[in-house]
Amino acid sequence: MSPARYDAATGQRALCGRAGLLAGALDWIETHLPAFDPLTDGIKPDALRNKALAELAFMCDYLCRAQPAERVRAQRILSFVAQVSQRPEYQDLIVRNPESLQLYALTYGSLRHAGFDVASAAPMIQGVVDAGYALAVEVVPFRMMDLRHVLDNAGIRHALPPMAKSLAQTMLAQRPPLHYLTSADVYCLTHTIFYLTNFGRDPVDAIESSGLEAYRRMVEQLLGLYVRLRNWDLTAELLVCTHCLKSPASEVQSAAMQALTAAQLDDGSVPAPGFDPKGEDARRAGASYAFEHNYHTTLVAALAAFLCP
Amino acid sequence: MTVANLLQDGTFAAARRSYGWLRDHAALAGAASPHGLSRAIEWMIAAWICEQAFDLGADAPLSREGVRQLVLRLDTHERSQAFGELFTCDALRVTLAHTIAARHGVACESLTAFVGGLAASLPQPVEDATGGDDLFETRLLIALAGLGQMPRLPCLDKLIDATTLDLLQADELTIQRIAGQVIAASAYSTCELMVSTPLRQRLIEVLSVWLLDFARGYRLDNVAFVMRSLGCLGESSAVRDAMRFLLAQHHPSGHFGFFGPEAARAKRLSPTWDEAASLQLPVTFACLWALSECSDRSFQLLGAAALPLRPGP
Repeated sequence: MSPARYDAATGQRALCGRAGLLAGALDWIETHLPAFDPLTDGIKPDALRNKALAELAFMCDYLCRAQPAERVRAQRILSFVAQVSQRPEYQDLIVRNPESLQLYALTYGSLRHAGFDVASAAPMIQGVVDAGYALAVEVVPFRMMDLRHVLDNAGIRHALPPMAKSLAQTMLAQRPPLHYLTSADVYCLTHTIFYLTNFGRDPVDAIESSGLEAYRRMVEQLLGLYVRLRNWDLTAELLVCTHCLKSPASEVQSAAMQALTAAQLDDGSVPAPGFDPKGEDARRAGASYAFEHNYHTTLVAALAAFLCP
Repeated sequence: MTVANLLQDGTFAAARRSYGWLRDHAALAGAASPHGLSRAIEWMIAAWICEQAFDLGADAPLSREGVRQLVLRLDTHERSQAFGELFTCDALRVTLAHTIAARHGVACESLTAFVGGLAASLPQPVEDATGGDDLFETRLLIALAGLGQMPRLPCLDKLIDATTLDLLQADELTIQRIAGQVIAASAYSTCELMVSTPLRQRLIEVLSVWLLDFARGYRLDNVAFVMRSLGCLGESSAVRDAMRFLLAQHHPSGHFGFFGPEAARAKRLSPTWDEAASLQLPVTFACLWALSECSDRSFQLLGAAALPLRPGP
């Protein structure tokens, strides 16, 4: 049982609501830190863990700034990320693995913002950008926004198109009817909103007002839908979107947070769609199944817990 | 041209094609049809909607023919057999069929006796009943058919007290009950709803989510039903989006829905399964009803059924 969520004497939950959600998620992360290490015995890094490490760095950097009360804990987790990123093989992978530039830049930028000395990585990342491959890769418009967001935040020079230009080509900007959207489409929408608003750190006045209203309405309806579908990954992402768009508080948002909190497992992780610890996949994958399946949902649930009211 | 005008035009064009489809499938309402009586009545009401809401067919020939076939079907049999068939239909369809027959000036003895018996069998409402009465909807239908006193309409706040989370995660039966309560509480769109502003807002948010879920599951009949319920709540934006969705599902042959995969599966399981009767007609009926009431706020099926026949163009 997680000490943060349960009272040792009574065995009862010590924290409830979003505070309990965040505390439980952080407990789970700390318990599973080694599983975030992407460096394997092979030449290539573990792709899933490379992404997980970068996302962990981003979440903890944001947590430091948004909730000073959690700073010590966030710094402790970031210290682990910093240790991995300082290892020679990780540093070399920045150059050897240019298709994952975005992840290295995200880890670097997050650690830099959080006050870690990672200056040695900057020229390597800049070198990869200047070499001309990493930014020439064909990507969909919201991924272009993602790349630009990461490089801007890391202070790396680049010649990517402005956000507004990429935004105009995204699905979000077309304001599609929601009846047809697949979950993959909804991820396109949530991520576009993340980058457009710098995860809620930029004011929303830059968004044209009719667009803003339409986006808020879209997010609210989709949030209700994914609560209904008990898809906690998209529920959490859409909750973060309500923060990014400064949406007025609503009953659907409260219900979503309540449902997300209730979905949290006893170990503090939040189950991803399709998570079945007793299923065939779990049996085959063994101990790594739960981590690989649930790490993203747990990270984004933590983000929702400290960003959303 | 405004979005509203485009939707109006699209709805009218769809209704015209659906009217043609109904004409081509008149056998579904024939006295000798092997399909259940419900289907024959749905065919007749769908034709009536096209004629009354969209001014199609001078002098309402299809619904008149539907009534004629209904009389043949019911009145040429023993009363007990006719009643047996009527008992397989819901009260809404039966009372609407009765009213449409009356509007056409056609007497159907079995139908009149059945509806008259239904009206007479209703006990006096409890003095302080506020819609919680199980017989409220039947009383309402009888009243709208002009055969009884209008019951007191309930305040929705007294009927619906579930939390937003419970509503969002409600099962299909609960959804149908609640969407139906909203429609009944507005006396089938003929009266103003009694509901507090917070509950109205909550219901609009939740019903919009249900509608989205049904649309993604291609449950067009449920989309249409929830859309009517949203219309009763005065919501326009989600209703407009749903209209666009339903119009996009209008098949070139005139029915609603592209049910190829479902039909192929059903026919594999039962080679005699009839797509037009089992799927296309009920869905087309539900869609026409929703589109007619949501595209023209002056048309209400149950209100229109009680009015004199609208003259043809």
